[in-house]
Amino acid sequence: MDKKTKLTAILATGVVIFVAFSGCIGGEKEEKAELQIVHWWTAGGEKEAINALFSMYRDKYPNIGINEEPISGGAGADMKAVMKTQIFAGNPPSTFQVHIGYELKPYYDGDALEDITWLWEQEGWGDNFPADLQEMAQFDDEYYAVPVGIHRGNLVWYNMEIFKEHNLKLPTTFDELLSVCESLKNEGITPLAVGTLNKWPGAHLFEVILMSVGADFYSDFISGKVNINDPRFDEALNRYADLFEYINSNHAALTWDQACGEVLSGDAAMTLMGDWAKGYFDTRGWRYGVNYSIFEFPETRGVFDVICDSFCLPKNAPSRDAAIKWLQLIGSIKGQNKFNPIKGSIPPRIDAPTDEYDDLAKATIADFRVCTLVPSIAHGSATPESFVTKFNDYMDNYITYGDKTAVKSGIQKAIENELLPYM
Amino acid sequence: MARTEKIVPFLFVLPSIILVGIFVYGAIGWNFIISLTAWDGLKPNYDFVGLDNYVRLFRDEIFINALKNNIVLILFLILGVTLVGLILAILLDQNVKGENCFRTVYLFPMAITFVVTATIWVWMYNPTSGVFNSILDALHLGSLKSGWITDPDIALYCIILALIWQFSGYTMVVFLAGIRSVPVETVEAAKVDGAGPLQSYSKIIIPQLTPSILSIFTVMMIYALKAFDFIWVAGKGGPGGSTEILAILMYKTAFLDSHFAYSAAIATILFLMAIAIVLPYLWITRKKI
Amino acid sequence: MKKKLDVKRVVLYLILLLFLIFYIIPVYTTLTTSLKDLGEVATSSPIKLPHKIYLGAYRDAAAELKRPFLNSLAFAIPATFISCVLGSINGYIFSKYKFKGSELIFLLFLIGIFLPYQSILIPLFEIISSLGLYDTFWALILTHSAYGIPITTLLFRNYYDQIPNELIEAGKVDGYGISGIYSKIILPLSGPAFAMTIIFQFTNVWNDYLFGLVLTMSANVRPMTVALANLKGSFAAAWNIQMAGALLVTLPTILLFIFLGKYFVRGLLAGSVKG
Repeated sequence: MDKKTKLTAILATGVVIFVAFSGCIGGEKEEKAELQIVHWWTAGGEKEAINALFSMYRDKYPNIGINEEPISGGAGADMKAVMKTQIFAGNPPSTFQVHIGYELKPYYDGDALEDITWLWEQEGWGDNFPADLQEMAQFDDEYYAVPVGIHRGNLVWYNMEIFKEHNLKLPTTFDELLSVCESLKNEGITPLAVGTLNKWPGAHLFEVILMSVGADFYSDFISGKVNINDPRFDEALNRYADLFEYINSNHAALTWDQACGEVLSGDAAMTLMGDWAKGYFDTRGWRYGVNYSIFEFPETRGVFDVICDSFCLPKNAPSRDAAIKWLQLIGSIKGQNKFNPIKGSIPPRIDAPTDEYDDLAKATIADFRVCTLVPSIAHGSATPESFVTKFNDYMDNYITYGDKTAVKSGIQKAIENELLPYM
Repeated sequence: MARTEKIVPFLFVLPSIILVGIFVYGAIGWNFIISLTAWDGLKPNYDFVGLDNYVRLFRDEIFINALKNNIVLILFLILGVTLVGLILAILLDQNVKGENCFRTVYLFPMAITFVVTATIWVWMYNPTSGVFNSILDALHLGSLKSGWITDPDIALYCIILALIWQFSGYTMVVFLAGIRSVPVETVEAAKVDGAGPLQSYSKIIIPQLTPSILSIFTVMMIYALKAFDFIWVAGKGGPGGSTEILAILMYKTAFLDSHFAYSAAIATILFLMAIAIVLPYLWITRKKI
Repeated sequence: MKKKLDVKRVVLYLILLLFLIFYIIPVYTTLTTSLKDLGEVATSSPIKLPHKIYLGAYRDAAAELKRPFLNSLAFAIPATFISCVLGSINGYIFSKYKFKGSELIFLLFLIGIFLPYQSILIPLFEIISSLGLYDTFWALILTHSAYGIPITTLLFRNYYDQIPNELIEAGKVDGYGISGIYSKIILPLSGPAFAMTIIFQFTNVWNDYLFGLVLTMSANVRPMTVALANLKGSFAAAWNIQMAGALLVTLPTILLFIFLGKYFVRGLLAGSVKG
């Protein structure tokens, strides 16, 4: 009897411990009004910016709790993977961060998002956002997202001292860019720093090259209307290949910010990056117009490569009211002008006053309100996600091996399998 | 009485049978069924398309690339761990002082999770400040510096080296046990017949290690098919797909691209490959009883 | 002749030592890097010891990994417990109470040991979410218990095969039934088997990454392995924090290995050679 009692006792203890554990450290969500929000802004200015919005929200709605689940890694790539699994498991948050455009599509196709056209109408937002941007927030003429911040992608950041020292003029054509690169190379300075460790910067560079061949061409490309033997596509590939000898040889080992670091240290003169690079330089003591400045990638004047963060409303969202209040907040002038100056992005609303923005942001805002807006491929807005993956892979291949034929056939297949069927 | 004798034991294992039945065999079957559908995207779609996905797979160069990488991984990993494990086992069989200490050090990587191993080795392979390039610099061999895991041509081999580090303690232990289970008389008899140490190892002991070698081959091959954790953390299959193996491709296709049916086809092929390895092994070792 | 032997011994120890260095270097560089501040990590070689010991990396890593550590405990302990208990019962039955079809069932269990988890990932995910268990400890407990049964069953069966059947017969003569024999005869002898299986299985469950990645997401449930990988993502350039995190994550299993290593080894051996 002794051993048996002992055994039972052990078993019982085990069960008790276990139940206690799972009871008090359960992963269960409670039912009170609580905004469950998932995003990937986990560090630096981004984190500060969203925290500022959270304070604003708490001040306005003191009775609603905020349960944030920040998921870092890969500029949102990890969060996207988790988000899909979560939605698929029938466990949506109240709202989540998503790039506008095609990044929303998997959820739209999966019937997982609420149509928020009524919200847009209620808030009268139809007049306050650029028409092109509104289109990116729609599927079948219905609205599914609310934009909160805009970044511009087709900007070249350069080390002012290097340019001054070597008497370089800012290039406005692609050939001028090549000759600037040649001069820099002869001086032993890396002309263009790129960090392809995470693949997308290389793809980002290529999409801007596509734009430089022509904004219409770019629009055709993302609509799947370009045949791979189109001479314009060849032109884009050739332009990229021309740049290869001017790009740092260790690009595969660097991240985008390490590439910015090359410009910072003077080892490189230029880098192409979205304007979140501003945060990188500013936090390291550099100032716009003094140490670094920007110019549009040659031949993309008048084109604004849009990378837009937005939030959406999942179906069956817990605390739906809290989520709607959040969307109202981020779509408002007050909310956008609180968030964007801290984050280093610009407000999507064209009626937002611009006093609290710095000079670079003011210039970007001015451009935003007049340029042609095009969505970014590399950042998930212009094309379905699986196409983006292949696009990133093949452009990474191209910069590594320079095999034009392989890239062309790969992109062709990607267009057939991952783009056209899902448009 | 006799009937209860038959049923009661069965009842004891019934919970396990149910769990294994559902989670292993039910899941495998269901996965196969999914692979025969057109399911793509977040909403399940069970339209039947037959073997379409499989046909597409074998025309897909990304799949072929992953298959190729998997085979390279299997071959070199098995070669590496067997060689290193055997060498270590033979060395340690020489009445080494502090044998326990050596064994513990060689074996401890087995207790480390793959995520940790990957994190550590990615740092070691870092081209700017990692250990390998630093040591080359210190030895004035700077010209041999490499991009290691960022270089698509050798990334897979860098990973294989790290895995050999992780697993060769295991093979060493298995071989050592095998070597030491050879009866002393056999070895003594060989010595009497004039066999030197080299011959006694190659002609007597190693052939006796066949069961050990078999089980190592099987375990490592299955590992190479399952290997996801390490490669995912080390670079998610990059650079340029040079380290992408089937397990990685399957995960990406399902959980990043939402092509569930296509991914289920990859998963089925993985399963068939595993069965092709395991069934012969179980058959051979069954006979040995 | 003595001289010849000496040279051979020297070479032997030299080779062993070289291998030793090969095995230790990764841990050594991890340790040195984890104790340096970021500036030193970027400028000094990883081989060099830190100038002054900087504990900030551990502080940062520990802050991120504290909750995941508890999470891992919360599912690893129950999962190990369940799969080992079931394994023991199964091993007992398959070893001593063979019935018609029991060998076939055992074989089917064995195949389960070699299962690549990718082959069941999507259905597993569907099962877990339809039970409403996504992102809960139960998801991992259920999963690890189910997939742990084959190997624990094998380990216990091999062990019980070595218990002479006469003991069972003696028990029957004394009037004990199946459970009586188990609790009176088998269980008391199972100490080493439990030690070996618990340590082996706990290490497996603790070290898992794939299931944690697919079945959980929130910080409240995420295992330590997944948290470490996320650390790698968010502190991409902070090698010292990554290394500190790596050491923290592997500490429990390394401690188990150091103090109870012989059981671990037995588990490895017993699992690899089929009975």
